[in-house]
Amino acid sequence: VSTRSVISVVRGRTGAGKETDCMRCMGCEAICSFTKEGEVNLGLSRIKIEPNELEWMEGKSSKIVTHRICHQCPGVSPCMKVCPVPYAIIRHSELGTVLIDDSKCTRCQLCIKACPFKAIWYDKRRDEVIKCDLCGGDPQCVKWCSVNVLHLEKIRSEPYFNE
Amino acid sequence: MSEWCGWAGKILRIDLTKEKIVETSLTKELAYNFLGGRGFNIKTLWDEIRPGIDPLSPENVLCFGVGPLVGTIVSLCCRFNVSAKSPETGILGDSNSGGFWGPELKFAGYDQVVITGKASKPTYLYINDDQIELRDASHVWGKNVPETEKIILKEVGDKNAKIASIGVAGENLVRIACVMVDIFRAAAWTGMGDVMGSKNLKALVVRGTNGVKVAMTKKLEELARLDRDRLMKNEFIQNQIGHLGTPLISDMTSEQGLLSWKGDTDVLLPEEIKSISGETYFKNYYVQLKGCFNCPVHCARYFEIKDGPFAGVRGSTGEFETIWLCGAHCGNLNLPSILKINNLCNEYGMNTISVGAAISLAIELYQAGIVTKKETKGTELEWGDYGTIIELIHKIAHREDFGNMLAEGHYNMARILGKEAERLCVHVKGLHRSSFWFMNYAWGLSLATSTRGADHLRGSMDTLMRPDICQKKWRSTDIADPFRTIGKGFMVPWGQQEFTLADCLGRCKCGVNMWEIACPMAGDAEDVVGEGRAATVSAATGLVMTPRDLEMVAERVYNLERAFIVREGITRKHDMPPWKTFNVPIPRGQLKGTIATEDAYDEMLDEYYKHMSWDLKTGIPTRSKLEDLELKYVADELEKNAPYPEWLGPPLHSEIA
Repeated sequence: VSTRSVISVVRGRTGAGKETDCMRCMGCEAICSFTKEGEVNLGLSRIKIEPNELEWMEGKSSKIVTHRICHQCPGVSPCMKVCPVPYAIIRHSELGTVLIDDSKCTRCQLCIKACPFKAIWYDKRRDEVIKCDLCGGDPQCVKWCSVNVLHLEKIRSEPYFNE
Repeated sequence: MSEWCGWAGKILRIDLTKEKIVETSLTKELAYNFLGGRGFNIKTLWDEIRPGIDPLSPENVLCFGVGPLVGTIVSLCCRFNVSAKSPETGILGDSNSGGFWGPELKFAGYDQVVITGKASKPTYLYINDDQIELRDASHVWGKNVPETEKIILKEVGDKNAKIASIGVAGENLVRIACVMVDIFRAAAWTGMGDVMGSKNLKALVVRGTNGVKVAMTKKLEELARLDRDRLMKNEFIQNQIGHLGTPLISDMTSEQGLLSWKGDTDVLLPEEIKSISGETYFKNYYVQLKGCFNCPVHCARYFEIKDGPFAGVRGSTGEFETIWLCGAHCGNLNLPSILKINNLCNEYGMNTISVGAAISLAIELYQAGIVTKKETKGTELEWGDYGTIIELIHKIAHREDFGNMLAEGHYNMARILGKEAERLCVHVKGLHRSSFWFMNYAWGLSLATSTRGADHLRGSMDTLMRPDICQKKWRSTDIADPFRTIGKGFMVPWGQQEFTLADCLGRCKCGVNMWEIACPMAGDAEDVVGEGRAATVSAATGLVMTPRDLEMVAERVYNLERAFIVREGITRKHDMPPWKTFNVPIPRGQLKGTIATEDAYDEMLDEYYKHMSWDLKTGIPTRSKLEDLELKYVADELEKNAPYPEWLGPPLHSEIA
């Protein structure tokens, strides 16, 4: 059992390169699906960039794009909270990433509904629940992003336990 | 499952008259010989369009094609080509756009959509993976592009569907109407929106959930990373074009002394363009960057006008061409008004370049007394009067009053107005480019010989004119001098070949090729042989391609395009720049007094034709050349039916002509 208090998370930058600097090229989605699935298939990406162009043009939205990225929520995350299976959603012992254990997951998809950032997806093709695993600490989306909007951040959290 | 890599392996054929949808397999012969996108399209047009048809008749064939790299991990590969016989020029209609529509078509599993016939009522095509439907579009007929997208997105219930549609202009058969994609992007040139309108086809809605398979995943990833790293480390691309976008070209062109002002009567000097410069745009109106699919260059922007008469206008792009043609060319240096015009054209679905060209020619002719209040229905046309320009844009889209004539496009308008107007009309094969650009011989020859008419996106010369590149490729720096004819006859074919390949593969030209050597993809930026590109195509498709193989494809496509326009009556004389080039010298600036000569163009055309193996007198590709390119059937047909009736332009609307 280890105790850690730092979680790694992919985030839209604050400060120099803001989330509003995202140009919505979907390169992050492309490289994510390419890394995970060996082919560019945006539907299987673990990060999602959604356009609000029409709403923005009409003055109904101040944001042109919205990011759907897993926040690796500190403490007991909402997805962990709703998961009916013990230890099906766990934290990575080094990175603090929230991970789904595919062998335990029953595909009930409660976590998808519970996620406040809408960052968990169900892959119909392979019958799997998918989410960002930070590529084991070296997130490809961060590397691929050409405007430095995405970056890897370490955030402090309450100490968490892991098996 | 299909065994295709890179290509999706399927072609969709839609007969609108019979409401028939047929899915066919991509043949190896088509894929290997024509690669994709522009290549597939010209093959279809050659095979299926009879010479001399009215582009607005149901006989016209409209193709949407994507290349084998579209939707792969290779950056900047998001382009698709729309082709048909052009109602604006009456020859090859071919237009290209980025955004997300192209990749989505690939994700749905298609390399090309071929549309024939004419629907009996307004229709839109819905492609949802392999579920294809023709749906009623009566409720969106009469609506502009953003509203159409909004209604259709709601209807199909999928925010991720991508839409290529036309606005009111296309419905009203405005010849300069374009196909709009993702609200802001346009496949603008040659009036492809008009062809959609003539077929009662409002939109193509695509949703795809499959991936694009590639042959060598690891290898392609490695090459794609090399390519992307180079783009991301390039200072000019990231900090200049990726920052200020194409409005920066206003600054560059005026520094070269070639930014035309008030039609082709004058030029703007660098100190005179402050109000429309890239910096001004960025400082006052920029909101956020906008990129196409998987693009690290991000040359487009979202803008917002915060104050003044156009306060509250929000939109995207507002490229150099728009600022130049709808601004400077019309004598208008008010940037907010240009951005407003940009939005209006996007909403109506009209090509800003052709709109600017038509209006500026009208103003010039009005000032010269050739157009009078009788034609304009009482409207006075003054340089820089943006209120009138905006009013005219509404009228063009609805074909009202004088707008009805402008809607024919600048060249056709000149044809209606008579000989003197035709003389002053600056065009090659019906498309507009400033007459001053022809004085730069590298650019000029490229514009003059382009297969879809005067066009900067069929062969960019800026990089090729770099002395270091010329030294590397031809062991001579003399060729780099744009005001000498030397070497232009083989420099231009190279530029055109690179751009043809980019269009066939689905790679963006604007992001890279205008600033760096064309479409290198992996390898260094000065890879004049194209080895990186050949390796990338091979890794994606699994087909071993050498740089020479790709060159052959480009030549095949270009020669077939040439044959297509020869069949429509194009000969050597149509490869000559317009009258003004030889008669109106550059009036001011560093190039003051510069003028091109017909002798120089004759000399360059000879050299160009020789290099291309085209007949020196007629400009028709020779049999031996065509046979080398496995285009024997083309040589047979040209031989059998030549000479063709001379090209004049598309048949005009009877009510005005």
